[in-house]
Amino acid sequence: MKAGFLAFWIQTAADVTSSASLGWRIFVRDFSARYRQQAFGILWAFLGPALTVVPFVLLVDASILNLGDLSVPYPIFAFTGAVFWSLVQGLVLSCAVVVSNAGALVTKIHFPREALLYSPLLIAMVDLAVKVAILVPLFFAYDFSPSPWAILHLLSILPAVLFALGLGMVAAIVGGVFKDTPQILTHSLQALMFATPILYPVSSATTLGRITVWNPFYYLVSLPRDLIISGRFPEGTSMGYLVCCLIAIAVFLSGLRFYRIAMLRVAERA
Amino acid sequence: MAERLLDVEDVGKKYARELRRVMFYGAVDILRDYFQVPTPSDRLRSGEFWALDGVNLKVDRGQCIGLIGANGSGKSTLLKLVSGIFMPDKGRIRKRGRVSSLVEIGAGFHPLLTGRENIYIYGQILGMTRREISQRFDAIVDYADIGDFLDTPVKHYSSGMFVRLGFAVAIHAEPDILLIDEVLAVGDAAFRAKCMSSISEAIKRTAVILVSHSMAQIESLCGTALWLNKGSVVQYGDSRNVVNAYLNWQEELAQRAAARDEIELETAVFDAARSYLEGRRGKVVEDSADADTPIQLSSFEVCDGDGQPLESVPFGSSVILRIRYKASRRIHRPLFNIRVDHEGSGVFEASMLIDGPIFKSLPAGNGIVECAIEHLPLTPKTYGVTLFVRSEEGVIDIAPTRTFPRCFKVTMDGIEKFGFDGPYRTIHLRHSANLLHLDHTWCLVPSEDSAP
Repeated sequence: MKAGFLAFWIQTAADVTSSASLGWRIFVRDFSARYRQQAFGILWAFLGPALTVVPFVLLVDASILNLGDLSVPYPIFAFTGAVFWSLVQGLVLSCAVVVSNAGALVTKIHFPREALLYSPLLIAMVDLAVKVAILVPLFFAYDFSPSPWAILHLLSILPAVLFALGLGMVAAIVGGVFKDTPQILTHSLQALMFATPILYPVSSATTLGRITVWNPFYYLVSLPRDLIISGRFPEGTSMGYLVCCLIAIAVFLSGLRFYRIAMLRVAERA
Repeated sequence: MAERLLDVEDVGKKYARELRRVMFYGAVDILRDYFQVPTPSDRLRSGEFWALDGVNLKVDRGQCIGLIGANGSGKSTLLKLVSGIFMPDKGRIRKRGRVSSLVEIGAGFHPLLTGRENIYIYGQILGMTRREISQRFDAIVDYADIGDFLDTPVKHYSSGMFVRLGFAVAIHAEPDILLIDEVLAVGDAAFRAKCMSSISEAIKRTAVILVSHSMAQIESLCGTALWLNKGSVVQYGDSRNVVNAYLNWQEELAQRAAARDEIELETAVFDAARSYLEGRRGKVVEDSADADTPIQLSSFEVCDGDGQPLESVPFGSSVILRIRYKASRRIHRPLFNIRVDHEGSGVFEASMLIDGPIFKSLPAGNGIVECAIEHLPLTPKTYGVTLFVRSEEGVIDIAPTRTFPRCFKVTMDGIEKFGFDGPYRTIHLRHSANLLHLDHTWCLVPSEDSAP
């Protein structure tokens, strides 16, 4: 266990690589089983964020919510944000159940445990692709043309994916022991979404604005949305985004280390 | 020189009993490991115990080691340590090559996916590459014998098909070290036989550790056996010796338990009798041999052919059954009966109800009645005896019936005298449910179409 720092990461890299093929196989298994015996199938990728956004669109439309001046139609602003948020939320939640769902696999059979993580990650990526594909007709419907760089700007969500995966690996371990972890996470992430400027813009002059400056999800989730819609980050946020990228990498690596170390103990106690 | 694939050196593993401590220590251990705080893992903390302690084991390619022991003795823990699911708290484990476990057959199966899809998933979980699975795919399907169900979701499989498919994939993984935990208790007899022969094939190229409660399996598959009790090694060596020692130990335990039960029963009966007597305000009940039961049977012994009392009876030896009695008067044509049972079920009777009145009369006073049996055909087990004596007409008991539960034991001693030479002779004789072993002769009758 007291492998040196470098040896630990070399071994980790080797295990992550060698488990890729099994990870892919588990992803194919989960993905092809996922939509069997479901009424809406892959449409859920779209229905989730849509059900979050539609009530807000109606509230804004009825002028019950006044969000001030937005450079884009509100449905586009909100739906793009919700798509990114649902990527983070979905990834954390699906990681949280990998260990408990694997059940006897983890307690009875030895295989590289990293293989279990490919499936939630790849499924989140497929979901993201579906959601983005649905964004395009929405943009057309509102006669909104994003910046020509929008496809490239999509990459700015990747740090959020790393961050979510880091959290997800910790959640996987905790979820392997405490079975109510998914419920706790669902409600906490829902609250976190409302605390983060996903469905509304925020002005730095307000109290919420001053808190938001310290919210990593603002930089990792809201800013990529702003980048796609307006083609640039809001003024004075680039540095914050960079710092949060580094934080995301740190969270990912710490999460991976925790996952590997704790998995041995969890398998003993599951 | 044999290729050493597994070397388990002085390995120990500790557990905690209470869930609260399990969780707490788990969290502490994770944090210590995470921050690389040196952990004194070879010392017990409060509430912990060694689930496995000081285990040494070496397995070469082509060798099969049988793990035996009562439930909770640490067998599965040892397998999990070897497979890498658990980390040892003490000692170290060195392995070479691919380790595969036949533990939870079909643990990686997804119920909604087809047999074909699951073969690939389970195969990769067991460490095969895609190419290896593709190469062995037909062999796996053949072996599992699932026919037209290959493209049916496995949730529609019968439990037999499920297990067959799981085993088929696992046996085709061709590991270097194969761990088998009690999986051979599943499936129908034909499939079990197939599994057994696959495993004995696999042993030739593999280092195998087999956990089984079937001593016949251990004896037939494993040359060496390791007997664990409460996490410690009791005996390690030639499987026949270890199995014999283990069976003797089990029998001793069973006898001790039975003796304890008897004492408890006797105490209970005594207590009941005393309270009954106290209820009758000290009225004395005399131990009288009254007119209806003129005989008291005072003791029963099993003796060898020379009349010397025996502690235990060697298999197939001649015995004399000896009854001591006390008669209050001369008895005319008594009918003595000795009924032998095993765990309450009758085995045979030496009965004057069948033989007829052998003695014209029995004199008053103390006396002995003996019944000789040549080559007692009972298999090695423990037997009980019931004695009763009927009057001439055969319907009235003239002595209080005496029962002697677990009265005598037939042992394997002297078995070699009978010229038995089968591969499992001791194990089979000891473990078969049969109570009798009768003299018999085999012969081969040439059939008309057989070659001259």
